[in-house]
Amino acid sequence: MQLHNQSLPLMFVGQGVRARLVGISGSQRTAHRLAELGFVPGVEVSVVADSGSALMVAVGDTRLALGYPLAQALLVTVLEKGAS
Amino acid sequence: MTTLDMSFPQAPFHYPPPIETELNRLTELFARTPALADAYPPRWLAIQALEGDEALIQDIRTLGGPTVAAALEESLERLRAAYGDDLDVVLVDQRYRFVHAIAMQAVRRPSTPPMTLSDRIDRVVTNRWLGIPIFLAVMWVVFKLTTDVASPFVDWLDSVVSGPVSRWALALLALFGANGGWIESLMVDGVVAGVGGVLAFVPVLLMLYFALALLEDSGYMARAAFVMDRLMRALGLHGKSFLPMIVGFGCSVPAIYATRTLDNRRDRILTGLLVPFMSCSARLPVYVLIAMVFFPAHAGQVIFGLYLTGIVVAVGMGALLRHTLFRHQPQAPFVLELPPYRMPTLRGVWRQMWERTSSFIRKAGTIILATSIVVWLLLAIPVGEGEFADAPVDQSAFAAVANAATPVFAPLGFGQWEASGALVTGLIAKEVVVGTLAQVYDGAEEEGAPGDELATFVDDLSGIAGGFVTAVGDAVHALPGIVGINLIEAEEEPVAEGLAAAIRTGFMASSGGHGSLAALAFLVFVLLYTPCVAALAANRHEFGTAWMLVSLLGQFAIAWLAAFIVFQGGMMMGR
Repeated sequence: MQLHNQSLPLMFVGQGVRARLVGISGSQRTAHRLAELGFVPGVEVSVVADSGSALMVAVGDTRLALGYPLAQALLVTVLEKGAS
Repeated sequence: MTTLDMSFPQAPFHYPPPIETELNRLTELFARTPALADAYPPRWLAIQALEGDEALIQDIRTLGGPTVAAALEESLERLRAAYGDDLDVVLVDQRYRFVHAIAMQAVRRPSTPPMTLSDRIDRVVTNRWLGIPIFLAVMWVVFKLTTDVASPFVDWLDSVVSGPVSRWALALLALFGANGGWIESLMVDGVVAGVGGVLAFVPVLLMLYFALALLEDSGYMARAAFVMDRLMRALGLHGKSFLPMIVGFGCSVPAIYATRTLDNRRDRILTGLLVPFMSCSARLPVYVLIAMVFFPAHAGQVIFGLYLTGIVVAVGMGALLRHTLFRHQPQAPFVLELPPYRMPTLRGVWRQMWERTSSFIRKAGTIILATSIVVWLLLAIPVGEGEFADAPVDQSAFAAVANAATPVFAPLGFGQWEASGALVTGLIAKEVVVGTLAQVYDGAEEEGAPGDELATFVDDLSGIAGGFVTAVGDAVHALPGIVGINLIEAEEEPVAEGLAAAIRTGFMASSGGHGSLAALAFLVFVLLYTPCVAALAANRHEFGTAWMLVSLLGQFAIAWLAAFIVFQGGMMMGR
C-alpha cells in the first residue's frame, strides 16, 4: 500500500480514490457536525460523484452529499490511487 | 423478521478517563439539582454540555443557577486544556470507536468495501454532465403524469360534482322542503361549487404525490437535490431547497410544508418566500383562458413564457433577499444523506399519497368552503336593485367591492370591476379567477345545470361509474404521450364566443384600446400576485404572521410593478 503522507482537502482527491481522514479544519461547529455524521479521524472515505458544487462522499456504508465548503474542511491522506 | 429479545447485555461504554472524571462530576451535580434532574437525564445532559450544545448550556445556566454554571465552566476549562477545541470531536469519535469495535466482532467484511450497485447507478445518474439531463427527463414524466394522465379524472370529477352531486343536494333539500330560493342557491353555487372546485384537483395531487413518493422512496429525490445544488445556488439556496420548489409547480401549500426538511430557519423562510413564484397548477386554467382569447395562435408560447417568468423572478428575488433581509444570516452548509436505491413499496407509496392528499383536502377544503360562502353572500346581496340571492351581478355587493379596487389596477390596463373582482376572488384560489370572469362577463351566468330531474339515483350511479371507466381509458391513452415532445398542449377547448367577445371588449375598454397588452399584464399579475389564502395560511403556520405579511404585501407589490412595466412599457414601445 502506497502512503502519501501529506494531507490535503478531500475536495482535491479525485473520484474513486480511497483516502483516510486525518483531521477536520474550519469552525468547531463544522467539525462537530461532520464528526456526528461519521467523519471521525482515521475513517476511510472516497468520493463517489462531483456535481460541480457538492461532493457525494462514501464514508463506511453511508453516502453523504457535502457542499464544497464542507468538503474543503475534511483533510485526508490518499491511500491508493485510481481504485476502480 | 422475527421478534428479538431486546434485553441486550449492558455493554460498558466509557469515554477517556479525563472526560469520564468530569462527566461523573457534572452528572452528580445535575442529579442533585432538581430543576435540571427533572427536565433531563443527568448523564446525557452532561455529555451534551461537554459537546457544546448551546441551547442546553443555556438551560443549565438558567435552571441550574450560578453554582452549577460555574462548575460546568470549570470542567470545560480543564478539558479544553487537554483536548483544545477538539473536545466534541473526541466525544463523538469515542462513540464511533465503540460501535466499530462491536461491529468488528460480529460482522466480517472485506477490508475494502466493493462498489455497490447503488454506487454504480450514481456514477451515471449523478454524473456532472448527465445528471441534469436525466433529471429533466424525470421531471418531464412527472409533469405529464400530473397533467395528461390526471386530467381525464379531473373532468370526470367535475362532471360528477356539477351533475349528480348537485342533483342529489337539490333532492335532499326538496326532501326537507327547502328547495328553491336562497338556500338552494347557497348549496349549489356556494357549497357544492366551492368544495367541488377543490375536489376536482384531487386527481392532480394524487398523481403528483404518487410521482413524488416513487422518487423519494426509490432514493432518487436525494440525488436530484444533489444534482441541482449547483443551480439552486443561483437562488441563494442549496440542493435541499429543491424539493419544495418542485412541489411548488403542483401547489404552493404542500411546497411550503415541504420546507420543514431544511436545516435552518433562514433557508426555510427564504424557500417559503420563493415557492409561490413557481407557477402552481391552479394558475394554469387562467393562463389558458386569457391566452386563448387574446393570443390564440401563440397560446403555448405565452404560457411557457409565464412559467419561465416565474422562475426568473424567483432568481431575482432570491438574490435581492439574500443581500437585504437575510444579509447577516449565513446559509446552513449543504449536508444530505443519500440512502441506497430501493424498490418503492406499494404500501409506502400509497401512505404518502393519502397522507398528503387528505391533509390538502382538509386544510384547503375548509378555507375554500368558508370563502366561497362569503363570495356567494357578496354576490347575493343587492346594492342597487334586485332582491337577496336574485340580484343582477353588476348590482351586487360583490360588484361594489370590486369597484372600490379598480383604481389600483387602472394603471395596469385592467381597471374594469369584472377583472378586479376576479383577482380578488382569486385570492381564495387562483383557479377561481376563471370562474368569476365567466360569471361576471357572461352576465346571465349559466345556471348550475340541475338538468333533467328525471335521472334516477341508479342512472346517476351508473353514469358516474361509466365516466370513471372512460377516464381510466383516456388516462391510459395519455400514457404513451408522456414520451411525446409536443411542449404545452393547451387544452383546445374553444372558449365560448360570447364570453371571449365580452372579455375582449372589457379589456379593450379598460386599456384605452390596448386589450392584448392589458391581457398580458393581467397574466403577469396573476402569475406573481399574492398567493391564495390556503398558501398564506400554510405560510403563517410555518413562519408566523410577520413573514406571511411579507409574502402577502411583497408579492402584491412585485406583481403590480411587473404588470405596470409590461403595460406602460408596452404602450411606450408601441408609440
